[in-house]
Amino acid sequence: MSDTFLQAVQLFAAPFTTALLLAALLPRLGFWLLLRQQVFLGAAIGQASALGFAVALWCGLGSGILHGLTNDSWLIVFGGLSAMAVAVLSLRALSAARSNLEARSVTVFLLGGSGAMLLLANDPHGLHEVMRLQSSSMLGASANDVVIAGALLLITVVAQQRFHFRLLLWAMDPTQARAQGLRPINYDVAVGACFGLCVAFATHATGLLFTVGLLVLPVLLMRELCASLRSVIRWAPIVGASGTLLALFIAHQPSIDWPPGQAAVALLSVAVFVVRVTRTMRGPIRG
Amino acid sequence: MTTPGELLSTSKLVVGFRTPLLSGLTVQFRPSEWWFVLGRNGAGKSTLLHTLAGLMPPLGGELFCVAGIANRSALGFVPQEPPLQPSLPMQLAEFLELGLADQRTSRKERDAAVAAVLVHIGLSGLGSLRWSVLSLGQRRRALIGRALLRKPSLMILDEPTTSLDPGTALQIVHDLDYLRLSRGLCLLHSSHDLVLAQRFATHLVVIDDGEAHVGPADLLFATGVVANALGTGALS
Repeated sequence: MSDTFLQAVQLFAAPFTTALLLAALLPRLGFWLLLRQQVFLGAAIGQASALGFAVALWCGLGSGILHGLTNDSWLIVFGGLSAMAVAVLSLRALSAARSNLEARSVTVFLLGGSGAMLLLANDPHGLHEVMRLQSSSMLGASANDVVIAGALLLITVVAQQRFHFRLLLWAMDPTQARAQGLRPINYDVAVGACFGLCVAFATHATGLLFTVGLLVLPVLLMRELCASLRSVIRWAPIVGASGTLLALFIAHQPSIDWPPGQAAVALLSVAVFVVRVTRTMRGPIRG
Repeated sequence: MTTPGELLSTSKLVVGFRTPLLSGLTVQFRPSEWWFVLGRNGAGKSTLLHTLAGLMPPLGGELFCVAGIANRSALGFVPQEPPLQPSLPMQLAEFLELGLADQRTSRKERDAAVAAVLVHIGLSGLGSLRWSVLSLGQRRRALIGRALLRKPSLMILDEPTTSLDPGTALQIVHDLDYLRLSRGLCLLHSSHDLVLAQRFATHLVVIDDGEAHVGPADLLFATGVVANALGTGALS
């Protein structure tokens, strides 16, 4: 273990821990997007949260303490509400009409990105903040972020264990879920709210690129490698966390010094590409 | 309301999506009956089945059912094809388990129920196969198996033999007949296959130009109602 990495761990204990907890949390959420065939929706929800942050900054809620909440809390509230609205409405539309939301997701993604920039075009501090979120920077995460990330991970794990089969049926076949007496609207709202909150927090703590990357890449990787859905949901969070740890290690080598969020996403993207190519050459897994 | 012995009944039911496709259907479904729903493409067969399964609200009339059907615990619904992506690594056993998604069961109970159903549908030992490598006939059996896991008293099947070769279709229908007779299952089955309907149906709902002809299968075949409705009279 290199001295540089150990020094970085001591210096950035909270950001690293937050990143690792989110790397275990986000693939658990991305799994449901994969089942709904809406991987890009993750990017749209992340961008919607960035627009929410921009609205908070535009309203002057991004500095100091206002109405008893710190600037960070206001950003998460606005980003969370914006992301939740997009997540709930999108899941609802999917359950109701079984329509493909690709075009709408792209529109939300583009509107979120451009809208955030335009809102803050005359506010250099706000513009810098939004640009930071839209790239990736996990080094600003605090000890509070560790607690929040840990709590979100715990709640998500417990809820998924408790409602695993119901969520599977809801995600894959809402019509059949209704035929079996489930009410998809309850799951659209509950999952959408959880999704929006987690993605907004993750975007705030680690940036959009890392958030979207960790939502989808571990799940896509495990989809190629696993023989069952049960294995995908078990292994994707482990792969997300270990990929991030490896990226943190590589990024903090003296001769490299890369931004860790980008390093984690690039590493996982290359892994997905290599596995995909290998699988295509070797043929499908049968059982 | 339903009278003793009835699982589901309708009175002057109107079904459709915004505009009526079928009006005035009055019918009673009882255990061990096998109802085929016949009609041309677009006549409203699937819409009727979706309405009876509680997936669409009726546009008019009344729909009565026993408690087990109302809360869906005794209802098995078999769609033509579930919207599953071929790229998902879903195993056959995992797919079947979804039939119990709304019920609280232990892992042990679920595994035992899935193993028993795999035997029933003739796919014993294939539980670990991926959904994407199953043949169409195996997928149709899996859809029936998922519904059977719920131990239904009424099973609604939306064209379960469409696109299958005649041998596979006949085998599936034979298996359904065995289940009907051995478990007292009531089957409600939309189809275009008149040969199977003539051989296995006990009753028919024939949809013709927005109206339903209901009655014993022998009678409706013998009086030419089916031939007139489906336009097969000139061919025979």
